[in-house]
Amino acid sequence: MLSPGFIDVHSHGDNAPFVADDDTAKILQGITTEVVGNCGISIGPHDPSAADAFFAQLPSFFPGVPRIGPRFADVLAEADRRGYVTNYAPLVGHGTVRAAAMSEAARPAGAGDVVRMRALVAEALEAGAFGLSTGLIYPPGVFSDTDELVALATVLGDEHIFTSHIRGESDNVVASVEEIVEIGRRSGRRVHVSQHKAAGTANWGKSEQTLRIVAQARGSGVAVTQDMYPYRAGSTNLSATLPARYHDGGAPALLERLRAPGVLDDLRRAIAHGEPGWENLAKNAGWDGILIATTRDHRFEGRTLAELAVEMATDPVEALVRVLLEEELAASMVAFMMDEPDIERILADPHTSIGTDGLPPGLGGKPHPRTFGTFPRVLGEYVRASGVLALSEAIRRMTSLAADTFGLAGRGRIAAGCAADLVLFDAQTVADNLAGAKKRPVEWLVAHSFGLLGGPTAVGPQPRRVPAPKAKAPGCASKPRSTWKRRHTPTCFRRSISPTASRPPATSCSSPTCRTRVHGAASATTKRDVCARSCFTYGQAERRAR
Amino acid sequence: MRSDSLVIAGALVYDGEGGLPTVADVYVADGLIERVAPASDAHSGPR
Ligand SMILES: [Zn+2]
Repeated sequence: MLSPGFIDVHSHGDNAPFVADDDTAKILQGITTEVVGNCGISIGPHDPSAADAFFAQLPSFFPGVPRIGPRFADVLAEADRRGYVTNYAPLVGHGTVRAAAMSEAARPAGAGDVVRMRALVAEALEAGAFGLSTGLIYPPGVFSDTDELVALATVLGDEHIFTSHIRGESDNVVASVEEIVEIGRRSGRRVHVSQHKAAGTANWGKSEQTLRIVAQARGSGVAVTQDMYPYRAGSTNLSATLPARYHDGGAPALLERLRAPGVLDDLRRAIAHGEPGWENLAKNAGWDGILIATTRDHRFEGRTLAELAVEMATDPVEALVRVLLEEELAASMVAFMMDEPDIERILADPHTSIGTDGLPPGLGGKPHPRTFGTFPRVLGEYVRASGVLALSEAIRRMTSLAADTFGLAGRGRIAAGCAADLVLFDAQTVADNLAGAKKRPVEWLVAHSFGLLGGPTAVGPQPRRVPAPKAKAPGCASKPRSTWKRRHTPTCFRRSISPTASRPPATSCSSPTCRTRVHGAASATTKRDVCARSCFTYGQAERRAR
Repeated sequence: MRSDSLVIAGALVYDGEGGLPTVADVYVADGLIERVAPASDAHSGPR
């Protein structure tokens, strides 16, 4: 069947234009457009007076990005110059903006800080951002309060969106969803809960309550939507297991604290008993539920902290600190925290779009398989196997709902005038686990009729940055204010799109089982190998975590 | 790609709006979908 190309509404592939190997993780699963800049983290802006520190830290999350100017517009100009793997729709990250305006200090924003942050957000919107993302478990977003977030949300227009990795997805999940609704109500802007979930065994089942809260909010006129990925495990930086106070002052201060005497006892106490306002991921997942995914030196990957503790003949807290210190914080984890009925309930909600939340390309290691398999998994597991969604509805969530929610005019539909972003797949065989598979999850994929993966050899314009949303978008426009009320929008109309910067000519991957078209180095086979290793490790860990 | 080229014939097309699929030919021009027409029997493209 032919569908509009899938839209990954929660990507961290901001650096995809900059890495040497094209990021094939997304195109292999049928994605033609990525919304990047999620979780409060974008590549810019930065404080020019702190550029050295900014670019010293940047590669631990976004490898491959060269030294570029401080404005959000500078990042987009450089990305435009290099060209895109998929169509690119950027959000500006609140954490990045906050660090640029007031460093990574653990304090509430003062009036002057808010003025500076509002100016930076306005500048990013002007440059082409689709909205503002927040990551309220991560420093420095974790140090913000609701008033600060409302003040920033009001910079947005009707056409933009405020997204949030909310303050708590476990014990505080209900209050955290309520905070996002409050931000929507007070700012009058559209708000969006990223990767909606209920984490930690004590909180399993709470999605019933959180979905009721957002439904009631919609009923009272607040535009709230959400996205999710269909896995029991989450994934993030390993340093997110540390209490918020450890992050005061940024990475150098954090490393200093991890070297201080008494740190192990302090962490053991904090993780055992929790601290107010802090998302205690280690407690939610348990030490045998935290799998090291990627590290700078790759030594610790593929083992849980419980296993590493045995290897190091110590306890998991010391193992955690040793990994963070030895890798200088450049480490990510996969954490098993969710329950299947919550996943199915959230997926069944008609306002849920789909996002991979895949970590940035170029980190290597054994990343969470959501990076490679989110969209095929929805189609294979939740449409074909369990029937949680009808196929046509699943496709709507991956295409037109995503486009309408994020203001991606002219995308997400097969209709005259819409971008020719198309994916062909077999609903009877589509599956997420590439390990040992003879077939790709999807048959072919084109963006703007430019062949990304197999399929028609004809070449049209290449993937590009999606034009920023306009309050009154011409032609094939989505309907931002009404996405949560109306499921059907009128047929798209033709609109003009300017030509993009040229990329090196496409070549085909040399592997007989992979006809991925790539620019520059042929990375598709490498990526498939990584995926196979990653899925295998994840599968083992998931069985143990059950 | 030339203007108005047939990118796929006789495909089972889900338009993204959540409705039932239709069997159609999809034509593309300049990176945009030019038209979606009911499948003509002359084509026997992939489905
Ligand atoms: Zn994220």
